[in-house]
Amino acid sequence: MSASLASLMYAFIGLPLLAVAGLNLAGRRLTRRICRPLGVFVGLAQMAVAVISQLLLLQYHKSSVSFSQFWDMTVSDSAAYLRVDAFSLVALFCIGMAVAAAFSFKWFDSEHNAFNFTNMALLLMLGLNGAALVTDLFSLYVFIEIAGLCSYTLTALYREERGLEGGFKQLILGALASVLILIGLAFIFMECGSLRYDALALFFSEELPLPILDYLAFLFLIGGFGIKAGLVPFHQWLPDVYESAPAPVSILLSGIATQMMGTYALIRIMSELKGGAADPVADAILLLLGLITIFVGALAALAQKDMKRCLAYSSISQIGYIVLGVSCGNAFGFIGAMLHFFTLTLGNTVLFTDAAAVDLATNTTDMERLGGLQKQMPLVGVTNLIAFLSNAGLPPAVGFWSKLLIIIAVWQSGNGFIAGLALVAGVLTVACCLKVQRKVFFGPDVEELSGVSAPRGGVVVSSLTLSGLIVVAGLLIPFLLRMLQAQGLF
Amino acid sequence: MPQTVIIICLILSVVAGLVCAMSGRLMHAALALAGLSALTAIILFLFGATMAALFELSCCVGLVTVVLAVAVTLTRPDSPEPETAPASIKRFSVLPLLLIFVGLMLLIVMIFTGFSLDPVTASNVTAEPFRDVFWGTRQADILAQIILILVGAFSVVILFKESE
Amino acid sequence: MNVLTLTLMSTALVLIALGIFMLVMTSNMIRVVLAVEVMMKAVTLLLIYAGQINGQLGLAQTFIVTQIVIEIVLAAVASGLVINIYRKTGQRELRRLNKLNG
Repeated sequence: MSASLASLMYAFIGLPLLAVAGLNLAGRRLTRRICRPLGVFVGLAQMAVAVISQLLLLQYHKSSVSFSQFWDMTVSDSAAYLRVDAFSLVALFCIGMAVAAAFSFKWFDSEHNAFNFTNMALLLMLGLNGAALVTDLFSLYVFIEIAGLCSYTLTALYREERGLEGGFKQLILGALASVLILIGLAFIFMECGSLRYDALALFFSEELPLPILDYLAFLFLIGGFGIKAGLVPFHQWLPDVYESAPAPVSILLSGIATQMMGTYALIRIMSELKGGAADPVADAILLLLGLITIFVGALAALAQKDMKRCLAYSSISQIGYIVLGVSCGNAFGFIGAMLHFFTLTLGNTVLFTDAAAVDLATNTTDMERLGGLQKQMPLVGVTNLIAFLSNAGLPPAVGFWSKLLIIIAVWQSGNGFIAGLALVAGVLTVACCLKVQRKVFFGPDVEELSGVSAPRGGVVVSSLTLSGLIVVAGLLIPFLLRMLQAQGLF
Repeated sequence: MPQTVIIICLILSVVAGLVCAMSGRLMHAALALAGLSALTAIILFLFGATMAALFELSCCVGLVTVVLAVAVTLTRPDSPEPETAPASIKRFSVLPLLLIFVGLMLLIVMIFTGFSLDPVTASNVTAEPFRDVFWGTRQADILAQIILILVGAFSVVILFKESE
Repeated sequence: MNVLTLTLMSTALVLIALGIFMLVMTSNMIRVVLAVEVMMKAVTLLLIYAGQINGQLGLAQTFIVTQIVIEIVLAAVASGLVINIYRKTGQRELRRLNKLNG
């Protein structure tokens, strides 16, 4: 049984790889036309496989499945180096969803650009899938590097000035972050002798105090992954990149790539190494940085004039919530952080899809020049509202549950005052949502936009489906929590 | 005996890094980076990591230096800038002093805190040769390297190919 | 107190400080790439020393080989971006690229 389950998991690596191979080896005329459907198919297939895998895991009462050598399935668990558990499946589902959403619209005017985008996006998907599957800190770093390199090239896809500049600035900060992560990894390797998750969990479960190198290592790791995630004070590159990247690239980047590269890695590291028990200094730093990020992001979002930059700062604020959840170190915290990861992925994908639709129709994202689009693009306005309110944490969207879990986790770990502050910051996000809605969708009509028509086709399908998923998931979460409670996780 | 050679190579590598940072002409900086990579390869070999030293020599000294030299050449302006000899060293004239200061501070901190790296004495840790580790237990890394090479190839195509 | 330990740790951290100094103080794009490469060499030294004191030379070499592949692809992508920026705008200095505000 585990063999069949394991063979299903190979789809996470095999599917994008086969798609890339097929796209490049087949005839030119055929491939140019099937770029977009291929991307949507791969994304949807990954979502389906993730859901089926989770159901299979539940059916066989296993919490994770390990699979190892590609040509030998009988290797024991100790040598396995790819593993799928609940967190990985949530991440894989989100990756598939963001990729399907990014491919769902006819963005590109030339087939050449579509072909390049498809190749790079599938390789990005491979890198992120790998990061979700591995059981070793160094392999996590390598797959995150793959994703980073893909995102630099994707930002510069059109080879125009803004994209190239955004790509290069992203590259500098990303490379600096990689060096910091590697220093942290080298220090941990010096002390422990292995970088596998299980060996490190064993090493860090010993009594305190840890050697000084390990404290330094956690500092470097937080710094490096913080730059990649967009934590304040390392967040400067995020709004520039989201603004300068082409529309589907910004959906991919904001929807899943920055989350996977930064916050998923932090969740994975801290939960695998049982962060709270091993290193209170790291937890305190994460708590502080998370809190600062929440407020700086929310306040900066209120002051922006450009729609995409406003969305970028708002998502930085939500990243602060995820880090706040990670810093608690208890089960509530990690589950809340992973759920908020899911919320943020869904929300950002919808928000940036809508922003791209507005941009494509009106040729601007300056909120001062937009107005009254609700009549012309009603669906875009509604999905924007739903996604923003989900990010802000209003019921019945799934964002309400994830924020609730995080605040309970912070409360449980003894920081009641900080939990209250985090609750207050939700109000700021609601204010930002209302501002965007008022300026872009409601408000006085602008004459030069009178000829704008609503988008049709794939983008409407994807944003409607995802908004519906936000609400449906929010309604289903109580059942999920009850199920987890029955399994004894709380 | 190899320990002394390693220490000499380490000091030389800092010198190479200084030349890379302070030199006025980009080509000299790229060549100083090649020198730094060569010294790192020698240090790797002296530690007994022969495969890594081989990779470092062939890939970093060979490939990365060529790539950076191509980049330097292709971004050179048509009229050469007048570069006088004092200017080429005067770039970051404070840098060597700063680095010596940083190095001394680190040494003082390490000696003061009694810093020592005790090797891990786990019983089930055996020193496996490179090939067993690489092809055996690190296959995720092999997959990652294949994907990396694909990413590099596609990036170069995307960045340089003119659309037809 | 092992002299080699002290020298190697100091050298690696000094090289990283040098790289960060170069990264912050320069505005030429290729020098930025050089700074990142210098820092990655320093990390290579840290990794091999970690492998040597733990007896895990094989594992450390695997890390270093993979890291070298990452360096190569990073240098290639960065050079591609720099060459394209130079061709499109004629600029080689970072601070003169100001299309993106903030």
